[in-house]
Amino acid sequence: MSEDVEQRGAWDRIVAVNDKLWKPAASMVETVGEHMLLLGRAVFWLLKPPFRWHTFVEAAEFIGVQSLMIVSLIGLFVGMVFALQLTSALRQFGTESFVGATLGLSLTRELAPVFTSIVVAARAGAGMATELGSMRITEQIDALSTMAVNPVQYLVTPRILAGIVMVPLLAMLFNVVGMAGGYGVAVWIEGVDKGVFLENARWIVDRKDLMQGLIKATVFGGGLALVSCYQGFNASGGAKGVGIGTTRAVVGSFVTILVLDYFLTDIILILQHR
Amino acid sequence: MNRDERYQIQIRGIEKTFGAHHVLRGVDLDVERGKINIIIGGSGQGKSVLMKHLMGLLKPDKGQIWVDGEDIVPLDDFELNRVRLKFGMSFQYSALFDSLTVEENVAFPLFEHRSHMSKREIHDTVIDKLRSLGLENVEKKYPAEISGGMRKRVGLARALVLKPEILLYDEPTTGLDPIATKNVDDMIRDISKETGVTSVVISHDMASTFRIADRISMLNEGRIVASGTPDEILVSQNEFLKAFVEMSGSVRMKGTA
Repeated sequence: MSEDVEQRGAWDRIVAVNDKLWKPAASMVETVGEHMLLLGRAVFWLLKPPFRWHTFVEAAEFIGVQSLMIVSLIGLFVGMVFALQLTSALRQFGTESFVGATLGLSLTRELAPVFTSIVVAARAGAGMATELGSMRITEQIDALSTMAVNPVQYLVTPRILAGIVMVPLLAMLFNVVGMAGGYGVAVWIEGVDKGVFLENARWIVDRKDLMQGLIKATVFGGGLALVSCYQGFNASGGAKGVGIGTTRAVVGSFVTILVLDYFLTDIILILQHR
Repeated sequence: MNRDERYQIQIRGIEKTFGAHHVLRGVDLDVERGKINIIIGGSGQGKSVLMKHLMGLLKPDKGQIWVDGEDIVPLDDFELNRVRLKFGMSFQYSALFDSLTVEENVAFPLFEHRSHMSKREIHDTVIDKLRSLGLENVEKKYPAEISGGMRKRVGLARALVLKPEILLYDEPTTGLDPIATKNVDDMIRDISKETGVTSVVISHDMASTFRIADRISMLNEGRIVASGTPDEILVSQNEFLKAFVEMSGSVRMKGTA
């Protein structure tokens, strides 16, 4: 009798561990797998006719053009505050001549791709998830299928493509504006010599750094569009479901961007230093 | 399976499960060419699920679906698009694209599948189609700016504009008042007569079913429990069918007081 109770206790513990650890892990793997399936379908339908330019242009306008202002604004202030911090930190070692170079490296490699992607995920990613989610619950996505228009081809493929094309362009803008903001603060306010600022930046920052940032921005752009489309596409259960999907799209995009950032950086650095 | 030209769609033994929910449990259904075929059944009996199988929006776990003699179950999305062009569908809540105007909604299938048509021709076709359904001067409006009944007709115009061979209606009269219901019934009947289209209607409205149906199939607990002409249905001995018809109060079963 007591043995029986003990055994059952052990079994219950196994079940509890399974519920706590294995199930969430399995469902996470499943979710990642479903994202990959959607990506696969989006690529498949990219290769099938017709290519609808107008859907791509609309998505690029939404993701890219409409993000110009907010990306510029954030780029400007990130550059400015970074220059402020760097000048104050580097001055302690008497190396404020390297403000421009350090700012340039940080912007091109990390700040521009990550900040730009996060801004776009919050703005356009949330927008896309809401739009597709509402289309799902009002059967507009089914309606597309009934008219022999593949919804992945019509809705998802152009958005992922637009993310891939527009986010690196926005990251370039972020670089330029951030550098300008940093220059303003370092040179005009903190009194760093402008020749030294520019010369060191030009000397240290090279094409490899720029490429690293742009490659990352490209991947993040595709990633955030994929996550947002997935959440919108799979929304269910009315207005509340759309809200949940949107929240998940933003949170999921942020996590995707930051996790990918680490591994991509690792891979790129290894490749560049070979 | 022997192909019977009388039937445009034939379904044998389809089953569909969602999670733990066994929705379709071996449905056999024949859809008669050029006639109004109505599938009736209570809420949550899988009518919409069944309809989504007809044009390949859902794939059954088991069973076959023949459309014009072609089994559509093994087809992939790309091949299914060819089959779907035979269909038009009118959704319960219209499912119009809310980012497009009425005209753009109805023109959408033409832009997608009639690329040889000029903008002018497409515009004229759309206006004609809208007018034939009694819609005038609404083409520049957005779906949110017109009434539910009008939206329904716009959805129908969009479904009809490619001249489909088969027209599916998902609960066309749900939520309409008796007069609007009668109007929709007349519309379904007129379209069927004028175009010779095969109509499949999902409904739980018995009165309107008996008014327009050429063929009725009753879906209950995931199976078709009775099917035939309205007269055959009225003399059916199926217990569930009797109960359903009598509860609706609109028609009396033959042989009851």
